[in-house]
Amino acid sequence: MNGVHDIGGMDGFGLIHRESDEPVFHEPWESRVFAMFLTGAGLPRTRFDGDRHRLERLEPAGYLTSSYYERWLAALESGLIEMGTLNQDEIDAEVQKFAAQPDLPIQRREEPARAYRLANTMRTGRPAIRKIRQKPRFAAGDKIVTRNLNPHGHTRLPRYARGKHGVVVAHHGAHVFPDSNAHGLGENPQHLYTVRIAIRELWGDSAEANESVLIDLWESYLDRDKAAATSRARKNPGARKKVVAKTLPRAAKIEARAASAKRSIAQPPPSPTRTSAGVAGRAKTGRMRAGRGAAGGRRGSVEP
Amino acid sequence: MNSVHDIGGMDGFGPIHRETGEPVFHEPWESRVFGMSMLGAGLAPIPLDARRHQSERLNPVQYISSTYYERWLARIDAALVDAGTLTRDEIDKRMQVFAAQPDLPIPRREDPSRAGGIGSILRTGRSAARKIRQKPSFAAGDKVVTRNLNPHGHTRLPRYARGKHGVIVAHHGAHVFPDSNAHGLGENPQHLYTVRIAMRELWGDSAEANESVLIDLWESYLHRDRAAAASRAPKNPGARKKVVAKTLPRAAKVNAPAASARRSLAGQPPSAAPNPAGAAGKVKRGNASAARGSGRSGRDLGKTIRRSR
Repeated sequence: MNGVHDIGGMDGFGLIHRESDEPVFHEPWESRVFAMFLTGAGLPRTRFDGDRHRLERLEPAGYLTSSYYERWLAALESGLIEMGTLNQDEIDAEVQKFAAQPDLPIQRREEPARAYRLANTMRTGRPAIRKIRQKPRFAAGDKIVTRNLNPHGHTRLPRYARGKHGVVVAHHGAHVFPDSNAHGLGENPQHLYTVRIAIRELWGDSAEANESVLIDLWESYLDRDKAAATSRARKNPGARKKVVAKTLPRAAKIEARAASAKRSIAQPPPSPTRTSAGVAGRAKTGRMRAGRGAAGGRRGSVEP
Repeated sequence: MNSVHDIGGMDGFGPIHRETGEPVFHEPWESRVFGMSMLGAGLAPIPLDARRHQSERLNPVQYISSTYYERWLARIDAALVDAGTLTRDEIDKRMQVFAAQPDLPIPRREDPSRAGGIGSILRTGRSAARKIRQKPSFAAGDKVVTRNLNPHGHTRLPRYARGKHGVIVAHHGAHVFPDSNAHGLGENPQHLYTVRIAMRELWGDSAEANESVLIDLWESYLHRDRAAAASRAPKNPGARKKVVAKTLPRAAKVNAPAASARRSLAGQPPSAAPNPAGAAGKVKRGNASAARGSGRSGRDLGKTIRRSR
C-alpha cells in the first residue's frame, strides 16, 4: 500500500538527528516490546511480512509521530484488537491501572524452552531463502524496468522505484515473496535480485549524475527492458532469426515452426539458455525475447 | 516538494466522508480565518502560490491531522512567526488569554475600502492568465511525457503524474508559473495545457482500463513523446523521403539533400503551410520523424507541425 511508511523521496520531515553510540534500546520498555513481538504476545503466529504490513496500516499521523518501538507496540495492540483477544477499552484500562500504580507487580509466565528457541532464532536468524525449480529470468547485466505496481497490500517495491529502468547487479536465489506471505497467501518464493537504478532515473535531471541506488527486488516486480533490447536488435537486424536456429534444441525448433516464433521461445526447455561464451551475445537476444513472452504467463501464477 | 500534501495515490487515510449540503464554513472561526488570509493578516501581500507553499511546509503530522481551515490558520501563524511579526510564545499567550476569558472583546479595525476591494476580488476572481510572445510548443492531440521533476520548492506537477505518457487535450493560453511565483522569482508565465493520462499509465495494469485523469500542466513540465513518434516512423521506412518531397516547398527541398531528412523537416520554413486533406496521412508521418529530432528545438518544431496541419 502507498501509505506514509513509504517515505522514500519525501520532503518536509525536518532534520535527521544522528545519534553516536546509539543503544539497542533507549528505554527498558523497548526491549519488552521487542520480546513481546517475538513471543507473539498471545496472537496466533504471524509472519514477519504480516507484522510489517500491520505497521504500515497504523493510522498515518500516529505512524509519523511514533518512535520505532512505539510503532511495534501500536502494531501489537492493533493485532490483539483485530483478533478479538482484547479491545481498546481493556488495553486503556490496563494502561491506566499501571499508570496510577507504577509499582504494581507485572504478571510473569516463565517458559524456558520457548525462550531458548527464541534466543536461538535471534542468533541464527530465520532465512527467507528457498529452493525453487523455476529458473531465474534475469542474470547480472540484464536491463530491466520495474513494474508500476500499486497494490493495496504489502509490497517491497517502493513507490519511488516503480516504472524505472535499471540493471540487474546480482541474483540471490529464491526468497519468500513478501507480497503474498504478508497476507497469508503462501510463501510463494521467487528469485530475488539486486537492481541498480541511477539517481537521475529516479529523481530526474537535477539529481547527481554518477550516483545510483541498489535495491533488492523480487522477480515479479521486474520486466525485461524491451526498449533497450529493441535498440540493440535494430543495430543488428539479422541476428534474431539466427538465434532461434542456433540456440534452441531440435524439439523446440519443430515447435517453433508450428507456433509463432515468440510463443515457442516463451517456453524453452531450460537447456538452451546457458551457452558457451562464443554465442553469449546471441543467447542473450534469445533470452531477451523469452522474457518478453513470459510476462503474461508468470503474472497469473505469482500475484494473488 | 514531495511532502504529505501531495497525497494523490496514497493509501491508509481511511474512508472519505461525504457531507450532504456542506456549508461554506462549518464554524464562525473558519470564516474569520478566511478573512484573515484574504487581508494578509498583517503580512506583506504574497501570491496564492506562495501561500500554498507555506501550507505545504507545515509539519507533516499537523498537516494530515488538521482540517482545511486549521491548515490555513496554521499557515498564517507560521508566516507571522517567519516574518518576525509575532513569536510562537506571543501567539500561545494570546490564545490562553482568550481561552480563559472567552467574552473578552476582540479589537476591531474597520477599513471599508479595503474590504470592498477584497469583496470585488472574491466576486470576479483574480486571473492568472497572461499574454506572452512565446508560441505554445504543443497543440491538442500531441503526445507528451511529463518530466520527472522533484523540486524542493512548490510545484503543481503531482508526484503520481511524473514520467508519465499522456495526450494534450486543450491549450489554455499562458498562465503565471506557480513554481517560480511561489518563491518570489517572478510570474514567468508559461503555456498551460490540459493533459489526459490513462489510469493504467498512472497506476499499472491493475487499474481501470478505460479511465483517465485530466490534469492541467504547465509547458515546462512536459516533453514531446519521442518514443511514440519514433514507433510510428519505422512502419514504412521509405515514406520519409517522399514526405520531404511532397510536403516541403521548393526552398526546403533544395536544402534537403544537404542535411538529413530529419533535420530539413525540423528547419522547415513557416511557409510550408496547410496541406490539402489528401496529404494528411503523410504529413502526420513527416511530423513524427520531425518530432523525434526535436530534442533541442522542440518549440520551433511544435510550431512547424501545427502549421503543417
